[in-house]
Amino acid sequence: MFNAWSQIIKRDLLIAFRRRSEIIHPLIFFVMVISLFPLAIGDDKVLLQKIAPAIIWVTALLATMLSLDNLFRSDFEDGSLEQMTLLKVPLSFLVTAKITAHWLITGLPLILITPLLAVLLYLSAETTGMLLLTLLLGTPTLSLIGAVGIALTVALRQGGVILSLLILPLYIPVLIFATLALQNTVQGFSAEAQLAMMLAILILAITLAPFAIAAALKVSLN
Amino acid sequence: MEFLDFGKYNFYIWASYGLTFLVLILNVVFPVMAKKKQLHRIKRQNYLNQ
Amino acid sequence: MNITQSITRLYHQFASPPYFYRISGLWLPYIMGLFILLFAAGLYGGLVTAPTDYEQGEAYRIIFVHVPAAWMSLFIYMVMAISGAIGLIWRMKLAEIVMICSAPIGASFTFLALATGSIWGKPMWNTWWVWDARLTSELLLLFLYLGVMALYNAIEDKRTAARAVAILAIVGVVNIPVIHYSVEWWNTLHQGPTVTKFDKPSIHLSMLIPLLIMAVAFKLFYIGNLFMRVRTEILVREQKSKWVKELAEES
Repeated sequence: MFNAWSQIIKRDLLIAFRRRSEIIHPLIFFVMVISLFPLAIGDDKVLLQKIAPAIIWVTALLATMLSLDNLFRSDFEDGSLEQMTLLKVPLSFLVTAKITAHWLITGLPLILITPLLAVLLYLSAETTGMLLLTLLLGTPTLSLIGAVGIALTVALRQGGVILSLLILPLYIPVLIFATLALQNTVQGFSAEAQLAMMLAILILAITLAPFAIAAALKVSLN
Repeated sequence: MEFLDFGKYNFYIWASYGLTFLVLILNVVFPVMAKKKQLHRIKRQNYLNQ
Repeated sequence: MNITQSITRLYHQFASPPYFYRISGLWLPYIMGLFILLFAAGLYGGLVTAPTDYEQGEAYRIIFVHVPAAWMSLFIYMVMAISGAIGLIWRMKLAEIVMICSAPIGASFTFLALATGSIWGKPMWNTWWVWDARLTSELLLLFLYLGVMALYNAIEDKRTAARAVAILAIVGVVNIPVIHYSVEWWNTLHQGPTVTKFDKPSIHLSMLIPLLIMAVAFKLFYIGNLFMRVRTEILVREQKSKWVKELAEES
């Protein structure tokens, strides 16, 4: 069972490494969009510091959404997704492998490049640290929730348009708690409560999302 | 009907209640029209299949 | 006949489209009649007999449609998710139809809650919109409804579409408390004017009664409207069957 799990991760990572654009494009999108804001606002240090958490988080949401198509589409089209449903291992379990690989390819690079962007937006070291922590807690949740959406829309022609309508409302609690944690940190208050909520949402997502994703994939394969 | 005059709030109250009426009525009109259309469509199908 | 057999028989009877079509047709005029009565009573109570509010003057009367509409938007989503789950687990056609017919009604009430909340905001705080906890939650709920309707329309085979939408509705219903809680948290930290004032338990009886009457009236409207839409949908899905063909001839 764990053999299948690690094989899927290895395979996805290998494919992503060969098709490096899968990793690079969302990253470039992330950096470019964030850079747009200082350009649009002007070099207003105080204002940029104030809205930096919001900018980085909203852009992270959008970048994750853009990258979701990679999650199931190629497997869907070449039939390997169908193969996975036929295995003795439950699909919900295998799905967690794919999402883990997806996070390693999308979420992790995002987190790694954030310190650079924090500098562009005049964030303090302490705030940047909290930002990284919120991203660490939040991006896996984004991958999990996003996977539900892409599992429902992978078979549709206009899937991409509907995808944003489906998952952005579900992303909002993560956004709210992350940005609240950061605002608290900036003002010198403790962000423990918000971080605890983010952890709770993550745990909820890890336990429930795989089943919804597996069910949705089976519907899409029809 | 003087007690139905709400002073400077007239517009807002009547706008809200008017909107309510509109929403309720439209929700009745559309399904009724759709049902008529569907029955008509089935009748035509029956006739063509004879 | 023992208990299991009678329950199975009731299940098959209730879940059978022609049976539901007939029964709902019988009940419909009474449901809508009762709705009209209660709606009129609620209007009278809210616009005539309820006293002027000490703080907000006459404008508060909007709550008699705003709050019941908000309650309905949540209630209908619950029904949609539950019937979706029933349709998904037991593959019951009627449950699928109830689920998908509830969506536009729920979306209408959500829109009404938003619009009336917005209209209320203008005389109160001189702004057409306020990001308070309830309005923001209602906005997100509207997006959830629109997502359900969009997904259903995007999938051609309607039975597959119903299964996909059921999954979405269930995921949505799990998220509603999360969204509601996070928005409240977000709102209390960004202090602002609030449309949620009238949820407090200190509401006066002469205001509470019209509110409850309207709430029941709206529920009746939902049930009646649901019956109307479900009956049409049954005619669409069962159009090849004999009883539908005969019914069309008689009409």
